[in-house]
Amino acid sequence: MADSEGRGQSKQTGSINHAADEGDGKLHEIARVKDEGKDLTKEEKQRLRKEKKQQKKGKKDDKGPTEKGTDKEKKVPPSTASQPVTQSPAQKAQSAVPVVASVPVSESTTPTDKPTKSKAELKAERRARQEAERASKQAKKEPGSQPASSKSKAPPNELQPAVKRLPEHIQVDDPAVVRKLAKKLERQQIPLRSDYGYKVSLFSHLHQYSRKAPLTQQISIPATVIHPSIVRLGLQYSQGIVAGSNARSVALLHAFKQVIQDYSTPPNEELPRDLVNKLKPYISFLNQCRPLSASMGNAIKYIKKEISNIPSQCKEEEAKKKLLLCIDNYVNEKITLAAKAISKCAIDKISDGDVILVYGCSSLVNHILCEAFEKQRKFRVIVVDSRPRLEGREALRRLVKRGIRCTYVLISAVSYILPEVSKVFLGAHALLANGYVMSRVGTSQIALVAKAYNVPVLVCCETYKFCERVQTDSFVSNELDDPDDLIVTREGKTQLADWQSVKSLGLLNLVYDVTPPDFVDLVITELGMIPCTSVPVVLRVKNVDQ
Amino acid sequence: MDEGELVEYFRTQMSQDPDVASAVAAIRSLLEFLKRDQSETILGLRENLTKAIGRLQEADSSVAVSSGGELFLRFISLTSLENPDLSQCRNVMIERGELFLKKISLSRGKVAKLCHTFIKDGAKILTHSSSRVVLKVLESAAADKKRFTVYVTESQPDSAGKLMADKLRRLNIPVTVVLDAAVGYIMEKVDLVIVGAEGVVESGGIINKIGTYQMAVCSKAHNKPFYVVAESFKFVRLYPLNQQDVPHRFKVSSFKCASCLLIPPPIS
Repeated sequence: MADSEGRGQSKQTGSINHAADEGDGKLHEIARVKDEGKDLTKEEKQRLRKEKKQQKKGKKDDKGPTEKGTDKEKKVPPSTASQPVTQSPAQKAQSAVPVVASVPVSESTTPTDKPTKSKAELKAERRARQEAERASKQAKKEPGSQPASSKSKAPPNELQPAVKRLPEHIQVDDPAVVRKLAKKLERQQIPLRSDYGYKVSLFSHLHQYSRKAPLTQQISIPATVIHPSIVRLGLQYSQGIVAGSNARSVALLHAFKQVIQDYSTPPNEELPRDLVNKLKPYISFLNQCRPLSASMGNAIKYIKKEISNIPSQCKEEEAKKKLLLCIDNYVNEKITLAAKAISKCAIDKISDGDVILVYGCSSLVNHILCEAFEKQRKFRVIVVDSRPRLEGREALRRLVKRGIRCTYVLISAVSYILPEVSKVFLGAHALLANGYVMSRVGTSQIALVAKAYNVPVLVCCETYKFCERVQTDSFVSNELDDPDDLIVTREGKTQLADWQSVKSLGLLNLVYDVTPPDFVDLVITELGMIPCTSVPVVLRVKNVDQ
Repeated sequence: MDEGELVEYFRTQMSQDPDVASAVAAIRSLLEFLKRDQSETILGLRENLTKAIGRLQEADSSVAVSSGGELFLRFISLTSLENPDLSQCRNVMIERGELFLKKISLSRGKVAKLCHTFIKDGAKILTHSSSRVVLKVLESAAADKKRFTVYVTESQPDSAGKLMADKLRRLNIPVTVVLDAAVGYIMEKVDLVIVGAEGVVESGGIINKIGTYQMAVCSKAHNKPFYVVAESFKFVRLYPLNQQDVPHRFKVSSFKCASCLLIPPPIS
């Protein structure tokens, strides 16, 4: 029910712009529909919903251009229109579990596009809408109390343990969703990045961007809405200069530190609320540059919670210092110290004479191997690499510099080399709530072949990467990288140079895949060694702590 | 009480009551040690206890002693935070220790009560070597007037299976001793497999007498249910990835089967 309540809220806030008679008209319509017959066919329900939407859109478009005209000052004085609407995503973000790559699409009307709905849900929706109309009439009289009431509704929502708000999936092939996203970005004054190239049909619901068209080309200089360190960070993400789960999170937190240092509360504003609102367009911008990872999502959730927990009577300087300290503690605890704890556990599992296989470049796994080498364990490493990223070369460089004996193979040779291997160490991008491991594409393949050869597979992952999402396949939520990366030039000849002109050809450059828990023998976290199926227990304990 | 006395006490406990689990005997000895301990500070007390546990593990290297000792330490050490005064703390510890001991002495009975419902009338059961928990389970099933037959593996090198067969015959349960190599042959005849455990590890697996793993793989191949009965104090903080990863001291036989001390046990 919290779901429909949330929807009702945003409808309530959205409908502030509507005239009172609009609300009346809707009530009449609803009553008429109820009288006409209890059982509406699916098509009728859909038609009804579409009509309502059109009406709403008509009214909003009329008001849209006039709103933009008044919003010239980039200081974003909290107009009643923008603030409550940004409140509802705030509510949802606060009561939402960690969001990955779908933060901008947390708009409420997405579920209404589904054609089949239970009667109870529809009734609840109608009831919510009626209450929304009633509240909007009240709000017309007292616009100031509106945001307060919507904010006070947020904590009760969070206290409801029964219904958890899960992030909606990215749906790029659904035009309504795309339009909602575009509108949201327009409001936040962030340019929308357009997709590039032909997408393979199975993955047409995901974004596919080109590296040659970074988002930063479309924003004006100087960027007044977005802080320059965020712009730089976005560029680093989209060009792949900062890559890897830990690196991205740490870079994000450092950029946020800069933002907080340069921040000054505008008059008549409270630091907690205003700062959170300031961060929203930055997060949308970063999401446009490159979809957020699970670790980044968790970090952002933590920061938002810390900011909103600042007592309102706290002075600005103090508050800023406190926030900077919080961020430093987070990085220290969850990343640096966690890595130390994990390597202590993991070194027990490395015995003399071991042959360890690693895939790609995981900062944590490299750290573990270097520590083990310093503790005088005798082992050698096989680094497996794959195109187009060829991250294994970086891992190879780091390990060889320390003096560890390494072998380098491509992933196509993994079944040839596995009989020699005694253990496989893998890093993870995120650990999902059903025990699946989300990692660089190719990881599940290695785990599968290792299982076939009865070689134990160990996944090393800090707890801040644990995510409450559930996924059983790599299709539903993934990231598509630039397809031009797959084009290779050998001896001056580029075979796929004009792949776009061939109608039946699609290039697919996947970034992540999920590994089922049956292929993973052990997960090493800073809390200890746990089986893959214990991830929901850890998540539960973390939630209780917070 | 010094360490020699402790080990003596432990050994007498084990020989007096052959039916007692080695972990229970270990905990009883540790409790006695705690009562007679002369240390002045809580930290000293804890250090002495840890040393005592280490000494006991040297005397009897079975998994159960190790897990029992760790559990005992954890069960009583939480009191040290509540009572800063040493004598009060010691009394509370002893009280808790007695309570813990009482609980775990009853655990075998509880396991038997829970398990005997899995044995249906007319069942054919396969078990491995001699386990007192399995014996208790079969005893309570027989007392419930169920009719079943048991196949026991001989379980070399100490032929513990023959001892088990004797005990079962005394309970008037029809029993057959089979060779260790005959597990694959007999698997199609049996309805279920019940074994005990020396230790239960964190990944959910068990450490047991050699030959249990073969039996488990065979029963999986034949889709027969494989049950393990173990008391909760046997849960140990280990996560072995494969056979090689189990610490060596858990693989050698414990001292209780005195006859086989002369024969080195098979280590894989």
